[in-house]
Amino acid sequence: MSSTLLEVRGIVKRFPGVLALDGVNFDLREGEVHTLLGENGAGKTTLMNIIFGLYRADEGEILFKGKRVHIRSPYHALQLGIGMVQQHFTLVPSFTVAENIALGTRDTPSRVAAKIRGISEEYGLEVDPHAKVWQLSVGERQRVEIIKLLYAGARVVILDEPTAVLTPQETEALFKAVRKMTSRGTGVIFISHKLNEVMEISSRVTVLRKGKVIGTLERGEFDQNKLARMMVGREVVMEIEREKARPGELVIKVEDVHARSDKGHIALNGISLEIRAGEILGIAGVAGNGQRELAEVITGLRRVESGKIEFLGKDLTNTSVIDRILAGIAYIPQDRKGIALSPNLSVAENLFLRRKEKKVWFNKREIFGHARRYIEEYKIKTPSPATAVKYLSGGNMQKVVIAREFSLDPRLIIAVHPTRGLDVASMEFVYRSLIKARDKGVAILLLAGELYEIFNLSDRVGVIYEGKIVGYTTPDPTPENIEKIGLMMAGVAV
Amino acid sequence: MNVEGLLSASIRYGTPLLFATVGEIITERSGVLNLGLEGLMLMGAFTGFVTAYSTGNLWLAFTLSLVVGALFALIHAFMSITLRVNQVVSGLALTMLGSGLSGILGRAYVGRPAVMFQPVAIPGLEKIPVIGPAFFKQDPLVYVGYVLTFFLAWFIFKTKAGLTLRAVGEEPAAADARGVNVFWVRYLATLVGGALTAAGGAYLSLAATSMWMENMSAGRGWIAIALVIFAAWDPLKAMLGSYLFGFIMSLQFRLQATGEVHVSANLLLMLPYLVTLVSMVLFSINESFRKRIGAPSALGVPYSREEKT
Amino acid sequence: MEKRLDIPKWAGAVVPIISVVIALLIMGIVIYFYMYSKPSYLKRAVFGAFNEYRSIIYRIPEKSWDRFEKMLKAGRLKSAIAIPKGKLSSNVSSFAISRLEEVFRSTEESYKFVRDTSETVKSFPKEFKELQELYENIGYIIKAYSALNRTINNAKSIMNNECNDCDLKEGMDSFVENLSKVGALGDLISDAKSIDLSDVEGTLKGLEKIKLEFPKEVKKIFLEKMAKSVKTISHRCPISRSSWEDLLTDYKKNVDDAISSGFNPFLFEKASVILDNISVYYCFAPVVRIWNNSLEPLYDLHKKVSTVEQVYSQLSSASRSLQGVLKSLEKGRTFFVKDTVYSTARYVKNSYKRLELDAFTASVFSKRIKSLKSLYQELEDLYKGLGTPSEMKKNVERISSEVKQLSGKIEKEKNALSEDFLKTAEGYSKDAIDSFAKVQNELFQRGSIEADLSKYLGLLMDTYTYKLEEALRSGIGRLKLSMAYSQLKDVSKDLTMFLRNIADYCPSLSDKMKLSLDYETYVFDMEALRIHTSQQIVFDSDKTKMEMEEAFLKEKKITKEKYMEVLGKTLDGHLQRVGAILNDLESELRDLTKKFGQVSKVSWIAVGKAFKQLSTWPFIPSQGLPDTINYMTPLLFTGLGLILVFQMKLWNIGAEGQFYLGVMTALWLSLFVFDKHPSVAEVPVILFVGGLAGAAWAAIAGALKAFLNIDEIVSTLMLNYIAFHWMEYLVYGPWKAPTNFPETNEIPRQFFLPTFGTSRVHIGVIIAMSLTIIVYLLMRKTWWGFDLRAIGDNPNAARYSGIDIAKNVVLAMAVSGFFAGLGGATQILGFEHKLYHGYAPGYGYTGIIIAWLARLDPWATILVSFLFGGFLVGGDQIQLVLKLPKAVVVAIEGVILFSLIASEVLFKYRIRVVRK
Repeated sequence: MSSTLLEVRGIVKRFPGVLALDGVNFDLREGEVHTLLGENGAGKTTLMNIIFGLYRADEGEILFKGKRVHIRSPYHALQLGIGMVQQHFTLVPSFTVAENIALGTRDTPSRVAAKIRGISEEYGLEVDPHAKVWQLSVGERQRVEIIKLLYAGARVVILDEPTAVLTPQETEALFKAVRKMTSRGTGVIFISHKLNEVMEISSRVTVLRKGKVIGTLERGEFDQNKLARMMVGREVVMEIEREKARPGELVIKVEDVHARSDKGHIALNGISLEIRAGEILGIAGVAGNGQRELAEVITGLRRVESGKIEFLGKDLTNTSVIDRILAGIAYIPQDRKGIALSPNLSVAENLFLRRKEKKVWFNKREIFGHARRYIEEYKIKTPSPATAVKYLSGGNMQKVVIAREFSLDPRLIIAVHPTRGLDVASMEFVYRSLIKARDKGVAILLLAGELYEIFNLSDRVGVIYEGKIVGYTTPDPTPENIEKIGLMMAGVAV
Repeated sequence: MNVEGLLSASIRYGTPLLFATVGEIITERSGVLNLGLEGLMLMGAFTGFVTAYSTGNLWLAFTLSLVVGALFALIHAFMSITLRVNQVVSGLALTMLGSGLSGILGRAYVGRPAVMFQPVAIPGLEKIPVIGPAFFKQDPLVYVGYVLTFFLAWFIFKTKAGLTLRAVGEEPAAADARGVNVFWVRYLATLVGGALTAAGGAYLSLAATSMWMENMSAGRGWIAIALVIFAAWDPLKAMLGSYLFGFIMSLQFRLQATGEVHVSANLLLMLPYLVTLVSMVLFSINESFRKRIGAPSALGVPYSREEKT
Repeated sequence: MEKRLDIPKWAGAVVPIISVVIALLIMGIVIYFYMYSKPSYLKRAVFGAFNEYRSIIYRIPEKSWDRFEKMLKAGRLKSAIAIPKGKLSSNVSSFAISRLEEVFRSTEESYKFVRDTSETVKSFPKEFKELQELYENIGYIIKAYSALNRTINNAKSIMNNECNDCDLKEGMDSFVENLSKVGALGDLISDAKSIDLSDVEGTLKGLEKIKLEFPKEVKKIFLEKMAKSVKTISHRCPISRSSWEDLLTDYKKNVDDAISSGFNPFLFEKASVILDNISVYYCFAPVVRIWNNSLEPLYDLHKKVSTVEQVYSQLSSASRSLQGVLKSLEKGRTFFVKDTVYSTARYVKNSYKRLELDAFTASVFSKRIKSLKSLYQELEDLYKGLGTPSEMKKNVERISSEVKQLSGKIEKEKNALSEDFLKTAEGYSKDAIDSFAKVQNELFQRGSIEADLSKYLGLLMDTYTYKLEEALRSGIGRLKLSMAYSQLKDVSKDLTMFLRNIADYCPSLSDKMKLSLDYETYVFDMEALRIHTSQQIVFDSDKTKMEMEEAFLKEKKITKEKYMEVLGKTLDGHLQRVGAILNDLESELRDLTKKFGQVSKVSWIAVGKAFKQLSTWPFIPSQGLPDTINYMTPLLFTGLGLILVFQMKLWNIGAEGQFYLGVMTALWLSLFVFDKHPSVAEVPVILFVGGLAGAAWAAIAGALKAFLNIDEIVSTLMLNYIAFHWMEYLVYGPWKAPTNFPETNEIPRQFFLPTFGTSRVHIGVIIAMSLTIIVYLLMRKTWWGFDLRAIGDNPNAARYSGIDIAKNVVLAMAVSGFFAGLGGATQILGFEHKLYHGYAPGYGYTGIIIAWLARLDPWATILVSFLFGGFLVGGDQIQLVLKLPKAVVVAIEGVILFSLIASEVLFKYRIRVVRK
């Protein structure tokens, strides 16, 4: 058996109001892929941040190659040989790849560029060292992060939900690189909550629930259902029962719309789609292919360069955001804290941030009254309506957004990654709310990254690639369908 | 108005702006916004003048003003980096403190004659027809200004340290992850920026004139802040911008003096500020796209690792 | 279950205030060690004046003066005027004299300048003019009474036929005429008219019947007006309350004396001088006082030398007349000899008298005076010995030899005198210059008052420089003998006022000085009279001097005896007293400068007093409270505007510029638009339009931010500077008032904002307070306020919520500008009433601190602007009492802001109570 690279014993970490990790033990052997499995909010990322030196554990100890270590900072961890690819990449957008990797080392960018080419050939992670990071796709940026670790000679590589932003083909390439790394003795910690990937890559799996280790299983001792049960602790209701959709009148018609991204590139390249009342259209696609721009064009946050948007027969192409709200378009954006909510304003105030009535006088009592009603109805866990939104958990924040958007009794709801970073209970709540709205005749445009989410909810599935819908399919999760979607996501004509 | 005279005057009036602008570029490149330039320039001018007046040693005066500039910038650094207060208000407070303190301590030195830098011609270069005398027959501080600008341009864009500085300004989390001590880089940048700004002030009381007057910087600190944006955080463009504004200021004095244009003095006094405003408008109309990339994205945002992103 | 302890909002205000107090303490300690441990501030006060004096000398354009000036500036005075030991040739003496002449002329100019300033001050508010009218009424009453007295005396003297030309009618006419000017005494006038003047007894009885009872209520009205005008004038000149009180009591005493002692004309005249003095003295007192004090030594110096110079010219003319006698004797003509000898004798007597006139010169020229006395005796004997003209023909030789001998002696005497004179002159000049140098080097330290004073004086000098130059060019000032009698009269009046000021400055001297002042006026008038008469007589040689004198006296209707009596009284009676007074003056001055020395050790108590002053003075109703409220109003206006935009994280640093726009618009409307027939109804219009102007100015920065994403900090700041210079252009250019001050005319009286009772607190503060309610509603009670808060907290969320950020940025900036503009307009209508150059009060910048200190809460802004208004008033008071520069207030503001934002950190980390 290869020697233990890294061991963590009795780790405890408390955050305001929540016990994130409760006495966690975990070890990693050389040349092994040890997957840490758990729902969102189970404490996976917190544990890794402690190992990586971002946070400090309240109790417990870390041993690296048998010796006890106190990891003070990410840089200290990297010096020891522990590297991590975080969900939010720590790259300087305006620098080139070489410059980013040269940062913090003594080598000059030119020498770094040469070494990068060597590493990327060896591990099959092609990336152009002289490209500016802001021009790279999300997948390419992840590759740069990995190369950064390998360049520094990391013995332990932690990958935190790497595949969330990748196409199936890119995921495959990543796994190939991971196998190359393990073959060279590097220990890889793989964090995910996608069971199919876990099955494919892991040598060992440790399941974490609510900050406690449920169990560690060797390869062969586990299968998807067992893992799922361990992960959630109760039968996961994967299938959301819903009757067949009865699409009603045409709600929104997007015709050949062109638009530019913030960086000025063509983001929407003549996209067209139609959604009828009481129907959920799920759009699958790799992040960065125009999903955000599509949502923004429909909600009025981005200018349409050419093409038309018709909503209930009225042309809304370049009208203001407020007109869109009044027309009945609701929008649940991906970035909860950044876009949908005002962190320092109270829950009540956020519940009325997007509103229809043109009232002048702001009556605090009346608003708090309404707020209390919504808090009960959507079961939002908050000390009081006056508490600032930033103190709520991710799930509760999303409930606030949904409560607000639904209160506008919209005719169309656009939801982008509505369940990202939520625990299962909240995820189920979001799915049920969307289905309820659909049954009430609301048209829903779902832009999600997880295929299983799209299969669960959508009545029709469209695949977006480079700002255009490349094809439609049915929402059944058969392997052929997944294959077809995967190809379409990668731009291969089917 | 002979071209040569006007050109050399533009450089003389531009140099204090150059020092302050280049100083602020370094500070802002690291992500710290220091609006206290006016206060720093006044303290620099005061320290320079007092030292020159009492000791007669000009270079000692210049260095001391650098030291005092750094010390005062330390206040702003402590406030903005360690205490993470609102950098705009802290900058304003620094300006008030600087102008107030220099006013009090400087009171006794108003109207006192003192020693000042005399122009020194660079033997070879000053022979060049038009630009020779203008560029190479100036006081030593102007030459320091040339050297400083080219050095910083090289430092920021070509050296590893420059890369680190820019990284701290653009994406502190990335720099932190790469082992860069964000706090130390920002402290150093603010201190160096403060020292250079004070040097700009010292130029006013040691080379431009040889006297001290309360609030003699007359808004140059604020023009420097506008110039940083104007130069898109690039020292070479800052040099161009500073000398351009030097030209406008000298033009305004000349017009007053020669009386060729019989517009009342006050309207002319308005010229430099009006031009700053107009140039910012023109600049931002066509460059809005490029400028957005120019500005360090983490400018004015205090960094802390524990912050729950 | 953990319980979260949220700190209530008001606690937020407590901590910054504590940190502000700590900041003030630190600042106090810094000021103490800088200002008090080393040089004394009083010494610096004198140094300031001294420096100012040197600046006068700079202004004397003649090149011949440069050498002296350079020496003076470089401080190496001793060698400057050192007359080369060896040759005391005539040109050297003339050099010395002309230099000192220059000194006197510059002093002369300064007096004229002081008098001119009093003219401008006369343009004070209406109370001052009313007071003047009332004054004249009283004047008339008193003149009437004295005319009545004269008539009564004349009537009596006519009765016992003492004088033949006593004129009853003339006395009565002036009595009636004066009374008629004072409407209130109608019946008295009718009685007076009814008296029959022809029969003397009847007149006497009639006159007795008229009881001129000084009307009680006139006195009351007079004192009331006096108090009111003193208050308004005091507000114009920031002089400490106490000095006003003394003036008032002093003035009341004089009026009472005047009334109780039965209209002593002299006392009345004295009271009126004080009234003139109110404006000049108390408005520019600190300036004039210190200025005069510094000129003191040099003025004395010149007085001594001028007398010496006159003596010298007397002697030279005496010797010339003796030459004349010799020539006429040689030609055998004797008829003029007696006369010439007599006049020469009188000359020598006069010069001998003139010398004694000045004790100091007397002590210097003691030898000379004795010899002159003997010369006089010889001339007297010679004159007596001449006998009748016929006898003279006989002993011509004797007489000519005696005359030759005498003129030789006089010539020798003359040279000896000039010798002594030059030594003294040199002594004097060295002495003066020594005192300059001594005073400059060891007594004085570089001081903080100097720049302040020079700036202030600079202001005055600038406005008057061209006047002074013009005066110098036209040579009015030259006090050469050729000066006309009237001019000398003016000069003497100025000199009197100058000496009076000195008296007021050194109270210990006051009684002695008053006496001498009276004498001085008297002497000068007579002196001038004498010079004038003697001079005319010299030119008209064919008539004897005596006849000419008589002709002159007759022409001036002055009886010979009276003239002789006055002349005699003048010269003999007062000689000693003046000499003694001058000595006192000098000794007084010497210990005064010594006194400066002791004052340097200002103890801690003084600093403690200063802080007490800073904390209590602004809030005591009788003392600083009105000022505090007047300071509070603009701060509240700008503060309210700023809290609105700051909550949007929109940094409007431009409140100062927007304030100026309000000022300019208010002035433009009231001076050029509504000035034809101004009515109170237009006041709200002016205020509102002023606000709109501020709003427009701010909207520019708002638009630049909203549509071009230009950093609003820099744009608002540039707009500030542009607005300031625009305003300066208007003050110096088109809007400049005809007075020689760089200011605009005053706005029509109808536009003055009403004030509370007699105080100068205008209703602006009420407008500001009522606006607070509007801001509170806007911020907390409308959806627009909510939108602004949302934009401030998370602009992306705001855009996502359909809030039009661009429109709101411009609108918020405009509203904020509106408040600042309204503040500017209110400040003009309510307080300043006109605009003067360099008006940069800084309310816009201080408003930023107010907004932060109030932590963006509207109600807290009222409290904070009141406290801060008090702080600024305290600051002014400190500057006056402790002679600190204005920059102190700016520095303290900086320290306060720093401590405030530092304490802000305490609220970043909430205190959590976690129960295990």
